[in-house]
Amino acid sequence: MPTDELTKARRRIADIGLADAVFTAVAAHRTPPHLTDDDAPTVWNDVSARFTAVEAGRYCSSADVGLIDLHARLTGLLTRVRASPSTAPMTDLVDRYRRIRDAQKALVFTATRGVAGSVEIRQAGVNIIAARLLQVTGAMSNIDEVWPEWHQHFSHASGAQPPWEHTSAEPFTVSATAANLRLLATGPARPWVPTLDQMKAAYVEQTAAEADRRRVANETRVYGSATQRRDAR
Amino acid sequence: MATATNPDQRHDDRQASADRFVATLHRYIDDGPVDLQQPADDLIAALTGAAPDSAIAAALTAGAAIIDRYWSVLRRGSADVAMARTLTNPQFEPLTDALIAALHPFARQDALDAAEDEVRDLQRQVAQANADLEAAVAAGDVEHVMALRATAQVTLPGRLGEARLRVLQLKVDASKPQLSAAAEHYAKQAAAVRDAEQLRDAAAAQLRDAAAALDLAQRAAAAARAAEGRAKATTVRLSEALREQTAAHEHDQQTRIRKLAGLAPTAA
Repeated sequence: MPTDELTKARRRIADIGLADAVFTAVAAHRTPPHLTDDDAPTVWNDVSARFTAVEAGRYCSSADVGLIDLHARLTGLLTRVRASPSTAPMTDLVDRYRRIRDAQKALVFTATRGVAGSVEIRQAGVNIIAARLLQVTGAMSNIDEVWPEWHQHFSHASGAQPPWEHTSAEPFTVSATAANLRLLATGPARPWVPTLDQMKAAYVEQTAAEADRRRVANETRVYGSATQRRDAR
Repeated sequence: MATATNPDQRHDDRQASADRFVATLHRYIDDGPVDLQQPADDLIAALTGAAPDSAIAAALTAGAAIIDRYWSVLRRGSADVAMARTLTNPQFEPLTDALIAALHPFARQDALDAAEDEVRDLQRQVAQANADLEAAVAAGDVEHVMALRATAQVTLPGRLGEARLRVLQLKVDASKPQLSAAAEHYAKQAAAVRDAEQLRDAAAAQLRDAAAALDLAQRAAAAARAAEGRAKATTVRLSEALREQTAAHEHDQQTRIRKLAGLAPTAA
C-alpha cells in the first residue's frame, strides 16, 4: 500500500497528463476527458496555463469551458454541504471549495489576459480591471442583496463588513471555511462560478441595484419616505 | 515487465526506469506534451521495495515541478518556447538529486532513524533534569541538588553528545554511497558527452569530406560544361563552313558547266 505522500505525487503526474488531454480536446472543440470532482480544480488550473501559453494565448477565450465545469462542481459541492449535518467536519469540502476558487481565478485571469486586464462592459459603457470584476461578481450573482455596503469599499468610505468570514485585506473574498460554505449553501447568496459574459452582466445588474438604492436613500433623506410623502399629501 | 532476480540486474532496471523518466521529461520540454504517466508508473514499480516511498515521491514531485515550471514560464508570456526550455533546465538538478537518493538508499536508514530518536529523547531528558535541578535549587534542597547535578550536568549531556556523534557518523556513512552514486552518475554523463563529441567530430569530418567531394564534383561539372560549350561551338563553326563550302562548290560547278556549254557564267 503506497503512502499518502507517494499517492499524492503520482496523482500530480496524472493531473499533468489530464491537463494536456483536456487542453488538446478543448482546442480541437472536442469533449474533454472525464474529470472527477477531486481532479477538476487542479486540472483546470493547469489547463489555464496552457490556454495562456500556447500560440500566444490563442485559446484564452476557451476559459469559459472550464468555468462552466467548475460551476457544476461548486453546485454539487454546496448540495453536499446542505445534506451534511451542521456538526459534520467539512475539511475535504472546504479544501475543494478553495481549489475551485483558485482554479476559477486562474481561468478568469486567463480570459481577461491578466489580473490587470481591462474588461470592456459595453452595456454600461465602462472598462473595468479584471480583478475588480472578479471581486464583485466572482463569488455570487447577487452581492448587492447579501452585502449592500459592498460599493463603499471601493470609495474608501467606511461601511459594514461583509456577512461572510474574510480577511481585512480581502473583504470581497469569501474565505474557504466551513462557516462560509454553510452560509453560501443555505443563505440568500446565489453562489456561482460565472463565465466572463455572465460576470459582465452581473456587474451591470449589481451596480444598477446599488445605484437605485442610493437614489431612493437620497430621496428619502430630502423628501422623506414614500409613506411620509403620501401622509403629507 | 519481467522482474530481474540478479541484484545488479535489478539495479540496472531501476536505473533504466529513472533514465526513461528523465528522458521523457526532456522530451516533454523539447517537443511538447507526451505521456508521463507510464514512465512514472514504471519508476514507481521499479523502486517500490528498494527505496522508501518518500524518496520515490520526492523524485516524482521533482519531475512534476519541471513541468509546472515550464508552463509557468510560458504563461507569463515574456518567454518563447526556447527561452522556457532554458529557464526550466535548472529544475532537472533537484530531480537528479532525488533520483540518486532513491536509487541508492542508505542501508542503515533504520539505525539512523533510531539514533535521531535517541537524540530527541535525550534532549527531553536533559531538559527535564535541568528543570528538576532548578526546582531543587528553588526549594533549597541542597542534598537533592547535589544528587541531581551529576546527572543533569555530566551524565545526560555526555550521553547526548555521544548520540549526536552517532547520528553524524551515520549521516556521513549515508552520504558516501550517494557521493559515489553522484560520481558514477557524473562519469556516465561525462562518457555520454565524450560519445556525443566523438559523434560530432565524426559528423564534422564527414561533412568536410562531403564538402570537398562537392567542390571537386562542382569543378568537374564546370569543366565538362565548358568542354560541352567548346564542342558545340566547333560543331556550329564546322557546320557553317560546310554550308558555305557546299554553296561555293555548287556555284563553281554551275559556272564550270555553263562555261563548257558556251553559256555566260551566270543565267540571264
